[in-house]
Amino acid sequence: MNATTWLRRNRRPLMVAALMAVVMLLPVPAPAHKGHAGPMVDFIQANDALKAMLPDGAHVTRRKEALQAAGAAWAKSSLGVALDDDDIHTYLLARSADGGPVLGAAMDVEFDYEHGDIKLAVGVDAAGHVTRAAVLGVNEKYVDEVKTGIGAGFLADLDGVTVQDLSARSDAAYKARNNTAGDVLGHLRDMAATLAALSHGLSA
Amino acid sequence: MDAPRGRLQGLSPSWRVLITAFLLVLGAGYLSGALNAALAVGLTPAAVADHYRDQTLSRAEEQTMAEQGFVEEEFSFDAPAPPAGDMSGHEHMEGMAGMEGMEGMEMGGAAPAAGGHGGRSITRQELAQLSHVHLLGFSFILLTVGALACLTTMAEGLKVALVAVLALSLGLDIGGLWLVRFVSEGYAWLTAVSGTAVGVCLLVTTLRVLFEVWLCRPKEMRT
Repeated sequence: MNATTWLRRNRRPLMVAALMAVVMLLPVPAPAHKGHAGPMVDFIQANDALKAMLPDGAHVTRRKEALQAAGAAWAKSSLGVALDDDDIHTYLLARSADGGPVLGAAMDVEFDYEHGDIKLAVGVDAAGHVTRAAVLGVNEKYVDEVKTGIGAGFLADLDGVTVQDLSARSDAAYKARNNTAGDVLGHLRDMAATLAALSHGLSA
Repeated sequence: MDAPRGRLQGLSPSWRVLITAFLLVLGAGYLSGALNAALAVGLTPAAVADHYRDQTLSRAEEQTMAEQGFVEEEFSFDAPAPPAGDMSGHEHMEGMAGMEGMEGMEMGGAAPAAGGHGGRSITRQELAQLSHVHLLGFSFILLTVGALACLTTMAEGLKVALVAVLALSLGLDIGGLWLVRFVSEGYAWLTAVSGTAVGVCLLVTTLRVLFEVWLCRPKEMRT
């Protein structure tokens, strides 16, 4: 059998193979991949931000624990925030210098943001109110967008707000078509609620 | 050596060379992939589990967590910064945040913050990226090697089994990584076994195809 005959006999599977090869080799749109949003631009170092979110002179420990079902239920009923009760959270816990009652907690988290990431931090006091909140950094491509939409570094207008305030502000931002603020405030709400629920479990 | 007449027999020399070269390059590609896996991760189920498992907690912390339900350690803001590349400084909340990006790998150097001492878990986005790159390549391998297998004179049942095992193994090779990351590290054996099965399928097909291309003479050409 010569090659021409072989090709003729197998033209259908060969055509399918060629078509499949072309489809598979089509370039996937580059923007769909992370890594095209530029390097991370830090506005504040996480360490500095977290330190400012916790009371001075407190005894600070780093804890890792999952939010128990009771904690998640408390967050839902008391704060109106639905939280997963299976993720393990890492956060800083501040107690009085003698290791007594809980004075506050803080955490920093990196979230997905468009085709990059955004780093956020928030602290809460013993009552579950936000002490300070901050945008720690974002990929270079989105720096201007984030600065315009919500701000960079410490977000001064969030000092002292409640979790419910964060929810309301997030909803309002979405209604105003400011998705950047809506997303960031929504993440901060979840973080603050998580900290409040974890702290509540320790205080209860 | 004689065999039932097949489509791979009696090919012109140029086709023989092409098919042979393709199989050799493919074999080299497979071995290179295996070498890369061995160097970057390891080939044993334990190594796969260690690399792809959820690393929110270190092994020691897992023990502590199992015993007391939490891990707690003293923290000082004045502690020296960890070496570059240490990803322990930040929590990754995929459940709330969705998928995360490769940029996270560049976060080393920050002073230790709320994040724990465990290593950095591979994220959904990274696993999705790894999967799509590999699966697209796998589909091409499946189509080409499977087609060559189908053109041999092996028994039809054997060809069906070979192609099916190859397809299943290619899928499970990647699927196993997702199971290790998000279900249980006990599934690491799946990736190790399926990766080996892929190699066996490629080897069997390659040897059979080369046999028919070079050593098997078609019956009509014997006289």
